[in-house]
Amino acid sequence: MIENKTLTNKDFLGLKSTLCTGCGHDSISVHIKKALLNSQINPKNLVKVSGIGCSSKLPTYFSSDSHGFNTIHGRMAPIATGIALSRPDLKVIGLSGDGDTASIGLGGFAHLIRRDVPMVYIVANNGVYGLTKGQFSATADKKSTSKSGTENPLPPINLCLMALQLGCRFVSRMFSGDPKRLVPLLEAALAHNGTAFIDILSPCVAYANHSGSTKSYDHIQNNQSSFQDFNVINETDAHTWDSEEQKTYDLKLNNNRTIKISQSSNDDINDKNKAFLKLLEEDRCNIPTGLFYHNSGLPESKKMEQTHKSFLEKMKNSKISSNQKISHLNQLILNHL
Amino acid sequence: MNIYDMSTLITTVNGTGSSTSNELFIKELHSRGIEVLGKNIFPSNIAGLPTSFSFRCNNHSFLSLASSYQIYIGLSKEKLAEDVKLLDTNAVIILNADLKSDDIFGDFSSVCSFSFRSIVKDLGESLRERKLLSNMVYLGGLAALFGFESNFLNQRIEKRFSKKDLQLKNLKAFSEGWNIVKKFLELTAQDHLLLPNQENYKKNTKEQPLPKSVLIDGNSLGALGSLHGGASFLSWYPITPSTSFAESFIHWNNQLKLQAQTIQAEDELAAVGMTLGSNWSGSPALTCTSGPGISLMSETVGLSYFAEIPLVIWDVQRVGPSTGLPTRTQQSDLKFAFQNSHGDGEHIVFLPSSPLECYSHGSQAINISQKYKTPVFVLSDLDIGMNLWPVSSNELNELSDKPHFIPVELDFDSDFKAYGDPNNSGISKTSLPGIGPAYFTRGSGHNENAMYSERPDDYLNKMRKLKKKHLSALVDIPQPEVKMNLKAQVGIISFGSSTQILSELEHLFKLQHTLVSTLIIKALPLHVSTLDSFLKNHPTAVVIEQNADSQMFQIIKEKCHNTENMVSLASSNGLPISAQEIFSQLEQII
Ligand SMILES: Cc1ncc(C[n+]2csc(CCOP(=O)(O)OP(=O)(O)O)c2C)c(N)n1
Ligand code: SF4
Ligand SMILES: [Mg+2]
Repeated sequence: MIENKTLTNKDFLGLKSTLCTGCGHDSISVHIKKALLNSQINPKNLVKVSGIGCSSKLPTYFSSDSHGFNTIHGRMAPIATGIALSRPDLKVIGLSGDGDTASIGLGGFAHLIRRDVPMVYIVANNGVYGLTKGQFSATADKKSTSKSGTENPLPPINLCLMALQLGCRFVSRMFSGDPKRLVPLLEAALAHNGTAFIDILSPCVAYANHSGSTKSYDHIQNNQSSFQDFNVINETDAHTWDSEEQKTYDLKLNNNRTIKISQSSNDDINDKNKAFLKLLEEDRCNIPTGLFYHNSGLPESKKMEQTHKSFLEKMKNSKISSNQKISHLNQLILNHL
Repeated sequence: MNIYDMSTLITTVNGTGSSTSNELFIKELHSRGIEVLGKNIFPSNIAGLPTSFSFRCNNHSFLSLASSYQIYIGLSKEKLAEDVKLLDTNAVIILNADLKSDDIFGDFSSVCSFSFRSIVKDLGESLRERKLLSNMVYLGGLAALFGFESNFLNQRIEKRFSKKDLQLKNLKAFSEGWNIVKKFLELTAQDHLLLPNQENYKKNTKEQPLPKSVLIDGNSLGALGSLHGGASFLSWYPITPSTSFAESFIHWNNQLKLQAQTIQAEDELAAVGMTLGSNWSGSPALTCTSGPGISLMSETVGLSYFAEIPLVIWDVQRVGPSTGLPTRTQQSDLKFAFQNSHGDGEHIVFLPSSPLECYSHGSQAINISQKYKTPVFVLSDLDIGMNLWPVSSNELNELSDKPHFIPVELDFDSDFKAYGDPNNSGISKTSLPGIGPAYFTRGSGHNENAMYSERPDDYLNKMRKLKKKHLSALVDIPQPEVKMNLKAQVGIISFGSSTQILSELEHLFKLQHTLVSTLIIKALPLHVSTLDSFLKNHPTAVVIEQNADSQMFQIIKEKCHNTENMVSLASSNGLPISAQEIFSQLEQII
């Protein structure tokens, strides 16, 4: 594997997609490839984990030189937790769907966020169960309709709001058809030191792209309010000036890059309360997209690193450990009981 | 040495600290060279219900529950009428007179009834303290019954209570109880009960030899064995009777500075998921649970099996179905574990029959699941998991000499195939993220290169490989333990905690000049040839197990031959089985 060489497009290729032509999910894997390339993340040190659903097939479509794990429906979160905590040397990207996360996997999602497991957590959100042919998911808006015209009677679960409430330090939403902002956002997520949550609105062309759906391409394009501009620069400390109306935040990315996020000076990316307000005010005609909240305080899971070291040593020094004897078990037990 | 075999039943109200006090007492007995086994028969609540503690002192090393008692301590009014049926006619009884139930024991000649309240009322400040002190009163009485001095428990009491005034109160309560029973024995001109001359016990000698055995529970030893076997990660969700496994794991991990990670998960779906994730990334991991947890874990077990990822599930069995009797013991998860998850497939199941084997199986389970990249269940139960058993020091030290962690080889030649079968054993090579060639793991159909496949031949090849691998493990899993007696009329087959009655059963048969053979199954898959020849060599074979559906019997019937003369003796009411009772049932069968 290429160590100090510059990584190119080729290093992040995956298999050919088997999703429907035009599926929002396909653009997500394209943008992930770009973000990995920009961030120059060695595929060898990356793992991709997913649940079950059309969205959970994404790991096969990028970075074939990385280990990938397509697990079972709703269990991406705990399985990724086990991986990320045992192997802090790896970069973990978790891919899930709105069914996979907001219904069957809601408990795991909540607790992963609580633990601030260091990884990128992506939900490809289309408001339906794509793979089982178009039933409403728990993120479908109240009164939005299925392809056959049935109205959804239940209010949606707002995953960003939940993540925020549960203490997530990187809470964001983006449209899959917005590469200009999604790629830098993914890069920022890859550089984050805890759970980076991205709710990606990703239309299902087969079951949720009609006029009654609030997760169709048209509806999202017409109703999203992108309250931030993203600019990536290839240095670490370029200056920007805040004006009365505009405020800019610098987020350090991998590979000596910086993302400059500018937004109205009424907003504050570090202010949780403002993020709450923004999310509480949203409705089907006002869908905010951007990085709602960011806080780079150190994650607690750092202390786990030690274990990993001792485990890898065991693996490497196999000669020592296979001869490793526990002498006087009896005494050991008596001493420590 | 005198021959002794004496069983004591203590029934108190739970939440009053009696089980901790009882443990102090049997630990002291044990440290004085008396062979003792204690069984806690407790309710599933925190406080206020009757709870029993049964302990048996005997120098045959018989470890099963007694079928009747020679000593009874009654402190729970609710249980007296029920307990009295379990007592020998000449049993000695210590009774709390405050319960005003002396009439229940009218038929017994040796009843020492006195008011506990009058002893503790001035000693204890709070109600809770007075309850705790009551325990010391009956323990003092017991010490007198057994002919020990009034300072029998002093050292342990002093160690237990760090505050001086608490120490004094407990010592006082103990000696009050001792005095009353001592006087009672004198007045009724009875000798104290026969316990051995305490020849092994040298008071006040600093250089005591290592005790012949350690008094310990299977959960503690299982946790230690797993850690010594290389477990670096435990994720768990609290459930009786496996909670103390996790707590012990954390305890040993801290004490021995082993740096394993422990995570209390949000549920068993997550506990097993984290465990699988850790194993997938190369860090040997296990989870511990009981029946209800296995139900939740099943889908992930199938993923582990089909995608070939190591997974160890330590099941401390309790009584099912459903919530069942959470604080009682059973062996009823056997078939569920063996064939766990949907679709075809059978799993490796370890069946430790003692706390010592919890240690050795704990370490082997980790290594075997790593080597075979498959789920491994360890089926312990509440009886061996939570009760204190004497574990032979010599046997423990013999285990010390075995290597415990055997790292899986990581050699990647150019033709690495994630699901290849280079040695015709069904075992593929291992590659780990960040360390070896990348491949894609999935629970959906795949070929040997780990590519998605729905091809019929790929599927069939995969299933054959998994079956082959399962049977390859026969050389590595614990072998059955056979004691063959060529003239035996009956062959007894058993496993797990049920085997703890075998030595006593043999003894009882011997008294009747009947010879028996025994076969202890230590793991699944079965060693079919060993079982076949055992079955062939006995006119009758009986399978003893603690469940209602004859689960092991059914598995043997399905896999083995010569099973026409095999009968099932399967039953469970939640209490550990007693050798005496099984003996009477066997007498009817043979
Ligand atoms: C335990 C279990 N229940 C049900 C299913 C069937 N199933 C597969 S995918 C899916 C829903 C997927 O929806 P989502 O996560 O939103 O993904 P999408 O296909 O929409 O991208 C369901 C219910 C399953 N695989 N496993
Ligand atoms: S069904 Fe919907 S979600 Fe699934 S691949 Fe097709 S468009 Fe995408
Ligand atoms: Mg969906």
